[in-house]
Amino acid sequence: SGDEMDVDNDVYFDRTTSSLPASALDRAAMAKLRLENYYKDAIGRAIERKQRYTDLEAKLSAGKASEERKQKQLQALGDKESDFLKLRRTRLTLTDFITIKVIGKGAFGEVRLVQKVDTGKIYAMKTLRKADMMQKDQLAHVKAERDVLAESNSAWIVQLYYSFQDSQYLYLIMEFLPGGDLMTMLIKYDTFSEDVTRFYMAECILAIEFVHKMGFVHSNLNHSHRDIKPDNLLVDKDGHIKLSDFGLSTGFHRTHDSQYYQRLMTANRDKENTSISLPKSGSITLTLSSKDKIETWKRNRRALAYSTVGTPDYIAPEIFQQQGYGQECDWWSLGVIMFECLCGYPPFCSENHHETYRKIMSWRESLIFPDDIVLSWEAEDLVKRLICSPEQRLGRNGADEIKAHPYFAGFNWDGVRESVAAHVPQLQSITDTSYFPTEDLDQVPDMPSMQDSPPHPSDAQADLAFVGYTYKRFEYLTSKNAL
Amino acid sequence: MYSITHHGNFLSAVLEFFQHIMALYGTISSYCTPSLCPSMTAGPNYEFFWAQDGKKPIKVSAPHYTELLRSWVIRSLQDDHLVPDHPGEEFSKDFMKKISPIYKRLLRIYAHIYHSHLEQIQALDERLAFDISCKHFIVFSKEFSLIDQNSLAPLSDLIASYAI
Ligand SMILES: Nc1ncnc2c1ncn2[C@@H]1O[C@H](COP(=O)(O)OP(=O)(O)OP(=O)(O)O)[C@@H](O)[C@H]1O
Repeated sequence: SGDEMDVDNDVYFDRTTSSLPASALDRAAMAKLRLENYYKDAIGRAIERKQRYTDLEAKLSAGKASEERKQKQLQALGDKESDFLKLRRTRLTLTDFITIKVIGKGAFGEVRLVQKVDTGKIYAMKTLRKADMMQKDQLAHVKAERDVLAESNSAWIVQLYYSFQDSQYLYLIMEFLPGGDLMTMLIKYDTFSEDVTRFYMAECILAIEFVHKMGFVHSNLNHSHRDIKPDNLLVDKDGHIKLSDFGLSTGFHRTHDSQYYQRLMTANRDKENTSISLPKSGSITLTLSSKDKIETWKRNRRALAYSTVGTPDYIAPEIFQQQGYGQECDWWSLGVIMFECLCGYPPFCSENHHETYRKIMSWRESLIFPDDIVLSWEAEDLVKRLICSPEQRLGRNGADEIKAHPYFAGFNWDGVRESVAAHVPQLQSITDTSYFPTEDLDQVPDMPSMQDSPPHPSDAQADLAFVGYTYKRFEYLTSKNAL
Repeated sequence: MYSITHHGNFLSAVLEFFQHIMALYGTISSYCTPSLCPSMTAGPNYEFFWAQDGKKPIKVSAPHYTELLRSWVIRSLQDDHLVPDHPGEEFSKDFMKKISPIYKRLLRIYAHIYHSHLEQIQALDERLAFDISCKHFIVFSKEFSLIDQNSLAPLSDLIASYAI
């Protein structure tokens, strides 16, 4: 029967895959990825389990509890671990959650405030349409990156509790941050004072620094270019900043596709060559007061956030060039955000993406501070030290460079997250959505709409990208008093 | 140390093994056809017949056997009496009696792949993945006495090479 194919380990074996059909290779890649994920995860969980046990034992032996009580506590932990295993087996679906309100919209789907049916707990659920994301192939990589961040358990990163998928969407169940995002806040307040700006900048610096350090620890992941923009800076219940779990979808944005911009650029150049009469951008902008600019910017801002193309306003110029870039590109984005906080609009904002792009590339001429807004020397200098060439940019040798800038003179870096935030959200309940533009999202259905037939049900390539999208956190699943 | 409910643990493990071996099998399934593998063998000495619901064991092709096994495992795991739906509910008394035949049969897939499809596994660069999964399966089954020595025989040389 089949023994003629029995191959011994030491028999020479031709590893050519050229004769294998592509579908077999895809499925093999998927199977390997699945196993790899499983064992990585399982080992991680075993280590965590051991740690929890050791911690509890240490705690118990330090206390004066009776032997019987100690046994009881250990058993309680055992029960919790069992519950956790059980929950890991539970397959979550969309029907396990009810929508309270649609609170946000991004390029690939929406964000909803949801309640888990059985526990009543509140979460933010982000939906990502698989079909839209499939154009890009780096999903597996991005996913690995997201996992690392999700597992980091840092106060600077939005916590991810579960993820699951159906034929059309990926679902991320995250902690709900009731304070909204910095974009919404900027739309509301136009500008921030220098003190308020300093607070948000400081928190962003610490958050970005954390992400960069993670990238250093996991050197196979390049944790730069985090798509730092005000939409992704979320505000927790105390008013502190957290970076949203953007690692997942960033990779797919058109705004990150340098070729897309190359095309835009050539298209633009052709236009300029043929029609000489096109006005130079600077000439218009100079005639507008910063108030007018703020108004125009605000009018377009949400539409920009909701569009699949996204806004290029925050992207560093080196990203558009093909030479590669490093973590310092995030500090450019920070500089743009700082300008926006102080002036009310980002420095390169324009009528269209071509123009924005052109201005970013010629930042030396186009970075202009408005005459009618008074800025301290320190603030203006910091912006200029961030919005500059990557070789000169502050932060290229680590975040400490930025922290040491005179703008932060005397600033207490140690207690930022513990201090009282610049704006503390006034919340009526745990499901208060007053910090979200819910009126703008009226049209979005309560539940993600399902196409009649799934896009490519048997496409192994498609599934490959989504292997391992089931993630749950121990502490949260088993803690009784979460939220 | 505290004890994690063993039943829950076995169940999680069988689910994972099942998914992993089926994923690996799926990658070589185009080489496991009724004409290439007309019966479920594990080398020259072992041939498995399919038996179900007390009926007489029948000879089926390897892909058919695998398919029957797949749906049987899924049905077994969905059995309301096997897995309690609600937290705190007890596992049924004959849980172990129901779970160990699953382990025993899953082993046959490992064995068939090992004896008949190793070449393709290597060509697809899956040897490491296969070994990790198989080794874990064996260690787990031995640790909890889920499989008797006899049933392990089709993989004896592989097990020997693992030195476990
Ligand atoms: N965990 C959360 N809690 C509260 N609101 C959130 C949360 N996550 C996202 N939001 C809201 O939804 C909006 C859109 O979410 P998000 O930025 O993640 O989508 P996105 O723009 O598609 O992201 P990206 O494109 O960067 O991946 C955010 O600007 C924010 O207002």
